[in-house]
Amino acid sequence: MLVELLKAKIYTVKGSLKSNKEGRHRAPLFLALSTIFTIMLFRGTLWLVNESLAIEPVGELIIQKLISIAFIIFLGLLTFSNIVSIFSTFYLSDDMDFLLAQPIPSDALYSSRYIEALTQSSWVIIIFGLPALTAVGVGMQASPSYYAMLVAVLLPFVAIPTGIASLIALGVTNMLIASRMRDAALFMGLVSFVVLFTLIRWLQPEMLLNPESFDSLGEMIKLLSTPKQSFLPSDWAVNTLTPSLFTQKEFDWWSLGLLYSTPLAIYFISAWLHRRFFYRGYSRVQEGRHGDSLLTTTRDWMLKQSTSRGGSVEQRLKKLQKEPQDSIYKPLKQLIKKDRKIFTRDASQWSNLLVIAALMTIYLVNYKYFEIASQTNFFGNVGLYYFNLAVCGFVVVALSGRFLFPGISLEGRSFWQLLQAPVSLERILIGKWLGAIPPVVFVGQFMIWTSNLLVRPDIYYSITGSLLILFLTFCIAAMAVGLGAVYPQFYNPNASAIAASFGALIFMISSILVILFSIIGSYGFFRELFAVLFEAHDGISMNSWYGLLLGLALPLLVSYGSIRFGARSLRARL
Amino acid sequence: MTTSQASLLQISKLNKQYGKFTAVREINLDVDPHQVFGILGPNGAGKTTTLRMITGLIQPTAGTILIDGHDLHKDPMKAKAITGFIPDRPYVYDKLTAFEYLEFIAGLYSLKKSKAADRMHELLHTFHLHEWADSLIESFSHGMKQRLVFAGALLPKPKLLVVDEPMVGLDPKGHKLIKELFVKLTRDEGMTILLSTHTMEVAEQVCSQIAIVNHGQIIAQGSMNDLRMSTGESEGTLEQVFLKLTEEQEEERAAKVAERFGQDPLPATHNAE
Repeated sequence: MLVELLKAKIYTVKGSLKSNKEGRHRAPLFLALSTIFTIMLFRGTLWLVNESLAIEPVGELIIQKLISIAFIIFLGLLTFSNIVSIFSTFYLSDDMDFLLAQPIPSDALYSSRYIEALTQSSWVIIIFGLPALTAVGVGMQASPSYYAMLVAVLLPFVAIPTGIASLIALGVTNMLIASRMRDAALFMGLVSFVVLFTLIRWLQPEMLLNPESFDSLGEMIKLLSTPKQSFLPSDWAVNTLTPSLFTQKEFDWWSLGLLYSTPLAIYFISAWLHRRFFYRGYSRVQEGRHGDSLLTTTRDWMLKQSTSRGGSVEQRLKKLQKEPQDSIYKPLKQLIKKDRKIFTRDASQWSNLLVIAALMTIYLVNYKYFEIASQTNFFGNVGLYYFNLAVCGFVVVALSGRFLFPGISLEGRSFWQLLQAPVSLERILIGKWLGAIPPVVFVGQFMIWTSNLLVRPDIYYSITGSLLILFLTFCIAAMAVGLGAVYPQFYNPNASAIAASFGALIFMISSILVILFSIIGSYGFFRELFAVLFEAHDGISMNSWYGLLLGLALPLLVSYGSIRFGARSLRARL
Repeated sequence: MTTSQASLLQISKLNKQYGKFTAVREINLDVDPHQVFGILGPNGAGKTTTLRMITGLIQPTAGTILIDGHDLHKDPMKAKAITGFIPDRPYVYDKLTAFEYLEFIAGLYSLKKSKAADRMHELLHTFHLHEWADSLIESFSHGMKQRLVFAGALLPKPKLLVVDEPMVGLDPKGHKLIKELFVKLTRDEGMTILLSTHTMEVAEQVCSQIAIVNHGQIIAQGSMNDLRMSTGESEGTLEQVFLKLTEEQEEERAAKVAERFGQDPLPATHNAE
């Protein structure tokens, strides 16, 4: 039965890849982008490994610490994405009603959904984790056993968060009221972010960039030494992997045992609990919104205020009847108004705002720490400025991916309304773009100004950084809307799942490449501009002007092209 | 735009193919203004596909669609501006109120605010939604949503109203309301209505012209009397006429397939809707 259930999913994926509607641009585009990204990631990591090895006598320890940080980040990301995937696959999936009505053994259903969630949330980590960890092996000139061990470690490592997420979801659906499910899922995601943040602060990564900041070598070695025993799967993975990387270490059988026995144990415990409690939790998720909790009452009151602004329906209609003859309803304005209203009334979007607030805090607090690194060879002042620009750009990418990319998909089955109206698809996409951009602009600007002012209260740096981020925000947001239209998921009501989909990944990779291109292109110009401003330098070279021009032209072209391509792609789907 | 030709809707050689499967084959249709034109056919006949092509939701593989003289392919904005559509299932924005939904539709059609307000007032009362105008659509029953979609489609006063299975999910009171409304819209507002339905009673009572579609083709077309004459069922109901026509075609197809392959053919199972 399990095989049959998995086959159905495999056939669906195969069908969507074969389909003219779904798979036309997918494979080649994804292959090209992921190749470029993989090469960049590999080369970047290799550079970092070589730089670290040059720091005597703690180079190897630093590498070990960097691997630890990487695995902790993977663990945090996996936990977050698994929680989203588990809710989508176990509780919010369209085919669940049908499957539950069939004589399918609960263990088979659990296992098929477990494998689906595992695949959905983990393949990205494997794709991105493998090049980085392979680069570590190459840099360290590791033996072939390291690469074999890498595969052996990653497989159980990605299975642990899926099992934990399935248990969390089971608990939440059985204990909380139905209307709070998605909020709870995102709250859990937020918690995992906070845990991740605490762990990273505990590891103090910025200290690795500035070895001189330690009082003594002993203190440094103490910080860099990895605990032999830990409750974190990321540590088990590191302890299992590093003996094949550093030949002097003994193989850690205990960690390997934990790494394999834990996911198996969680899997069986979770399967056993699902036999008993899954149906109860599932039924509760299907119940409508009810109850008179404070939150529900507040929400209803706010809704009433927003819907009846301007008096009763009769009063509002009378006011409209008195409007001048030439006063018309404007399509773009109504498209934006509609999206804003839907966004503010969707509770799952509110919870996402919490995640953003957490992301911003994590970054800003960490950025303050990164100031320490600005005196090192790794960064330097201009380096830190550009690092900050890149990270702010990545936050804009993450936000656009979460809030703008799913825009067209969330039209869902109501999309017919727009298609049959006398409004062009380009205009619809522009409406989505302009409607959702203010919060992204706000966050981008808030981040760049706050971070710059935190460490460098220089107005020129802040203004140029702010302008560049503003420009990139508009471009990246347009890319998100356009590519969201190229890879729509009209039958997926879960915005978080859409934001973690295949198309979203293509958007993320391509927009990161665009940001890096823009920042690298404009680097020479800004470096010379700052030299003119602060060091009475002669002027800016033509090459730097060309670089700036290219750095600005590419994002503009790509964003314009994305909107056009998105509209064309939607048209082709009709 | 006022055209010199009599038909409000002209369809010629309309085709829709999904891979090797032909959902709609060479459909030609002229619909005169101010009438209710019914499209009937069994499941999978291609009715919904045809209607969705007329409203611009699906692109035809070949053929032309002229709405009041505007080519839907070449001048889609003008053609869509005078067309309203009511799908069989009322998927609308659940997080908007009925009033906001109507304002949104007014925006899509760039309506004048004062005129839109008059129309909204009228439609909210016609469809008994005025009391619920400030309620979120997510709290509406299926029937209420369907009535709201009707109100939205009628708001811009389209010249052509395309309706797919209008009676799905409506109670008997709703049936009566819609039937009376169709008559009123064609008579008083000069609207042209193209509707597909399974409900023979509706087609018989409100349609002045009927086309019967099977396997993506029009197999018969005309008034009720024309159809009766063509089948020899001079006293027959529309249901009897419909069954006779579609069964005859099935037999004809089966014979053709048998002749070609020299064996008993399997019944067609493709579903175009």
